[in-house]
Amino acid sequence: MKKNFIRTLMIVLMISVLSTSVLTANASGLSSNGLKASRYINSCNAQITTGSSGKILLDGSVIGTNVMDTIGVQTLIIQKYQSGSWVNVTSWSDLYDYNSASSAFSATYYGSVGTQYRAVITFYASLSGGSDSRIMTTTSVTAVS
Amino acid sequence: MDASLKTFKEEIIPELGKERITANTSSLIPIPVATKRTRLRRRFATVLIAATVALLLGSTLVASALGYNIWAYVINWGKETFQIGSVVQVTVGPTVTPSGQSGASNVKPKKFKCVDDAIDAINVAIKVPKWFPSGFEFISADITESSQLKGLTAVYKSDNKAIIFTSIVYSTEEAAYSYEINEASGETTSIGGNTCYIMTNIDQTGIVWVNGNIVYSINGDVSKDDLTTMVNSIFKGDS
Repeated sequence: MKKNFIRTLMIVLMISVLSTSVLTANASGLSSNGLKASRYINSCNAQITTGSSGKILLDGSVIGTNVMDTIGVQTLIIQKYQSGSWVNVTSWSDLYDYNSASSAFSATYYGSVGTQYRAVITFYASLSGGSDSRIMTTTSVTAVS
Repeated sequence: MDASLKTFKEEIIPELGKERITANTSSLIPIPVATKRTRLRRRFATVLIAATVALLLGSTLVASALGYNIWAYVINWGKETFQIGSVVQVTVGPTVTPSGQSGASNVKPKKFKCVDDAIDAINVAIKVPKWFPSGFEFISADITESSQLKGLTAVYKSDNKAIIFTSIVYSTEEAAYSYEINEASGETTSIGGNTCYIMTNIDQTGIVWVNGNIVYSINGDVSKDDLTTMVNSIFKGDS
């Protein structure tokens, strides 16, 4: 049993060492600038607040790294918290500006008072055939009367 | 790697051989069926644990190499779950049937021929750099205004190189901002007594600072020194 354990441990360690070397090499080959940087998107921002009568207000913008061919929101999804999970209630797509360094959006959704809502926004920017996107999930707010 | 292979050859392979010999010898003595089953179960359990550990490590490393941080994702997701958990404590009020008109659109920017005209139009005391690196020329100034957001974007270019100056004002302090940066590239510095955050994003350099309720940022194909000088030119005007 002890021999089996040592043998297994050695095999696992060898696989791990092998995987680490190969994958580290691959990762450094893909990007030497870190994994989260973007050649097209500089930053994005958003704010979700509530108004009266269940109104949910959402605003945001995305800034490019240059004057982009296309920049804006690819998809904007409003989710509500129901039975222990987040459920999509409505969505919009392709809210873009063209030949611009930034793009802003504004959305309004009328929800049910007492229900919790949040937004999942996919920001997008493209230039000369290349593109990138970032998904931002806002904090949640509760619709008020 | 060589050391591991050497250890494997010198220590593990001879052990495997010994065990095979021992097994052959012992096979002459009849082993009770129950003992055989127990050994088989133990061996199966050991292999199963090893396979699980290897799979877990392998998938984590593959995910890391592809740019996903599984553990960070779990942590973030956990935070979302925590926020969801707080929903339980919310007292549900009277339900109102949705009555208003829902909708979304991109906010059409208003374009200006110079930054000063854009600042006058947005009616926010935004301060812009007075110095720019040699060769960069003003291209455009746009303002966007919605119910909760006012933003100014000014673009300066030198051939394909760009400098993007932005200032954003939200109606509340609950907005979230996310800036793309190279790993561990951020640093904090003080310019003219203001805390500024300097970062790199691929080949670009960026600087962010907050003044009152305005969040400023400058990013572009320029050096950190150029950015510092640009920000300095804003604060020098104050003194």
